[in-house]
Amino acid sequence: MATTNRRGFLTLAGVSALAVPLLAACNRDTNDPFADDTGGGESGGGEGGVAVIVTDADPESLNPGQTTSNQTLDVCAKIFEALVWIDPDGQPAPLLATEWTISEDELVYTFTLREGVTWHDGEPFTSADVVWTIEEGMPNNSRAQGVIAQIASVEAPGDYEVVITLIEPYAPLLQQLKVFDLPIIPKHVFEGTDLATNAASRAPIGTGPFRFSEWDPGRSLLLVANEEYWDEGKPGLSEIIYQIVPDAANRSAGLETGEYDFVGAFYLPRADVARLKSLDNVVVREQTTIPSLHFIQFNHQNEHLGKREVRQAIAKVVDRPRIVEQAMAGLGLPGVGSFGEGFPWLVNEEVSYDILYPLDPDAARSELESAGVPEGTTLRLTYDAAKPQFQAASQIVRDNLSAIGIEVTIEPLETSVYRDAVYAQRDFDLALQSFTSSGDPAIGYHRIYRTNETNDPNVNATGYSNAEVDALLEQAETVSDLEKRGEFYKQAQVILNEDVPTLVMYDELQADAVSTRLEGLFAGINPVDRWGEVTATE
Amino acid sequence: MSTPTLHDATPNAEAAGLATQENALGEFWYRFSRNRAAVVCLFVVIVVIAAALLAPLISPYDPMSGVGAAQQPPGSPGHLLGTDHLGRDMFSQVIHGARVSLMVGFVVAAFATVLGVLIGALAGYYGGWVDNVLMRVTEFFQTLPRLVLALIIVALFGSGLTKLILVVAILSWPQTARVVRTGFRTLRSAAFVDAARVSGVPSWRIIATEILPNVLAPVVVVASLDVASAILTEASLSFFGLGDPNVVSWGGMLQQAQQYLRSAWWMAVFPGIAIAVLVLTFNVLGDGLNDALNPRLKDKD
Repeated sequence: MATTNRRGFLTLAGVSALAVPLLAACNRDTNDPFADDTGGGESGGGEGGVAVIVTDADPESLNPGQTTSNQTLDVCAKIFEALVWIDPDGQPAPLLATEWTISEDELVYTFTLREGVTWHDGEPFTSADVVWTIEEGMPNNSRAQGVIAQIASVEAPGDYEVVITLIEPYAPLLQQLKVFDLPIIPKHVFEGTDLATNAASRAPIGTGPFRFSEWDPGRSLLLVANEEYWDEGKPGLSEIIYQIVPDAANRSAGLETGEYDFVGAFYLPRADVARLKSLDNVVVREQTTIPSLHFIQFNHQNEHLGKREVRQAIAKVVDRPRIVEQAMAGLGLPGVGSFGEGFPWLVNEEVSYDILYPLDPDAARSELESAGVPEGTTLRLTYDAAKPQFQAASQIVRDNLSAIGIEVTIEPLETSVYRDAVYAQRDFDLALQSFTSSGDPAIGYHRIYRTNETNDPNVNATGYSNAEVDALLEQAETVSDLEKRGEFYKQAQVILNEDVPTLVMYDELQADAVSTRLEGLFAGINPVDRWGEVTATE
Repeated sequence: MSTPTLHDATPNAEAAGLATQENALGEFWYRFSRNRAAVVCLFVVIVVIAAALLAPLISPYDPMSGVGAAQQPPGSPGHLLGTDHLGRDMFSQVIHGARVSLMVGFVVAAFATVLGVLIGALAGYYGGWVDNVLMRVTEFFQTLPRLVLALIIVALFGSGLTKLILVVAILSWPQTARVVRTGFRTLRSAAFVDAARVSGVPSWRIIATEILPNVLAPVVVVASLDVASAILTEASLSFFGLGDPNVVSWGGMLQQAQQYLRSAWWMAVFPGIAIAVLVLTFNVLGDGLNDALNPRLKDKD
């Protein structure tokens, strides 16, 4: 009975977001399955209405230990919490951990956990959950495994104390203890069960501001306010509805009509951004808070691309501003160097692409000539067909290179075929690729340049190997002082910008589009995070 | 527009056999020219073929090159049909797109006709188990969901114009085979065929020189429809992003226009019109050919 009513409600919600808060209020009194067993309704928040968030597909799981897909992380960021959250300045702030100390040698991190936090099923949250999550809870979450690989041991000296010991100093550790990398999941629910088939992987139990209520596959998901949330007065919303909208154009149209409230960067069609910006009821926020680079990998096994002069000549004709303008609808910053400019503290302006490689087809042509590249040389350019932004970029690159007598054949490949061809077989000449930094250059960018003799997937496929660069990157990874780290990156750029093993096309700008009726968004660096702070007005 | 009913298209053996070649042609043209729509379509086809052949001379710009500001509306100076999202001239692209569409259409039709005639002739002439086997194979190919199979093949083996043509061709011949088989079954026991047989003419010559010329009329009609459907299939595949990214094609243009429907409608409208016109043209042309080649159908009315 309750379920039927709620379905009807969800349909209505899809039709008109304006009517939602009113309906939601009725709904809470009558049908809310959690309305009766929450005694602490007075202290909790959740009186602020409903927000409708758009997603493109069903999450494959609601267990963040099972996957790192966007659809899963987006929902899980509201339900689960981690030891820290990342504030708008990119600094870790207390969440499930209230404070921490770092040993002199930067190897031992001691966390004090928050007391009085309960899981959505009423069990208390303790250090055992943290230890278990790190040791056993994240087997299929590749981002979590990236952090866990740095950890030598994790211990719980007390119920509210956790000690993490690293294998060697690792600067971005705290950055990676956020909910997207290491969400804490409940030991008492999962221990000793098959994580994939455990019911809680589809009806999750977390500590976060929202608790899971209902999942109508292919249509929507419903989260409701956690009345017992430890942070009093939060969350500000009573419900979050995820509306599944497979068609991209419908997502922006629904935002325009007020049907939806939030379309995150991952789901927002780039071509619509300009139009959305002009609307009164929508705010578009552009940011590079989690920088990501889009670049061209040159296969050094190619007789021509193995020569540095040839790569430099190509750098002089690839029109980076045009790619940003036309292929990315302006949502990018034209490449300035090997690490882009998403992390301003590491940019070496003295060896910027703008100085080394201003657009100059004539100079490029004569450089190619002296490098012995014959007119009409053909290069094969490939990209992952699942990334549509590369279609336009590849056509611009072809257009640019045709100006210096290089013919480019475009060969988009299906994702798995692409990965095999580029990373395992190295069967390509030019490959378009994008990597996210995941918040720190050491996490996401080192792999663009470091030596990769074992043909690991999603790591430097160019064949470029420079011991000096490898050493500088390694040093940059182990120092936590930003200024010192920046020095290592600047030195690396002197070499890399000159060698151009890979040409950075642009830093991607993320654009999130939000209805003006939501307030308190963007409290954290990631707009998907910190929804406990969000409220809805009329 | 009525679709020609292919199975009624029994070859008019007597008419073709008795009339001299010149008379037949004259009569054909007389009948064809009475169908105004078909004549107009023939004219359109000739214009499109000319445009495709002369594309490099007619088109003002390189269709692959950004030559101006992006998304200029139609009528902008120097860009009759505007420019696309990469500043490429739409007019030049539409003209060059005709090359791909016509090439796919004609090559597929030629391939389908040759293969279809061969299989249909063997099945119809010999009958018995040969007929049985060949017709089951034909039916197998005919029941394959055309677009789905094409999608799978292109997704597995990558996109490219040659692969695309091959895929569409492999799916297109059964129609021809069935029509040819029907004709051969009717004529294999005709008096003139028996006469040839008893005078010791080898089977392959009977097939090729005695019967085949009499069943060609419906084959021509089917071929013109093949052209239309091949053009449409190529456009559909390109629209799904499975076309050849290294050539300009109307379907490919439509695919890229999708995300600009609200900001640059002309990116979708012109290639869309081009596809619609060409496909319609070949259909009406097939209709006209059918009427002209099968006067009996008309006479019955």
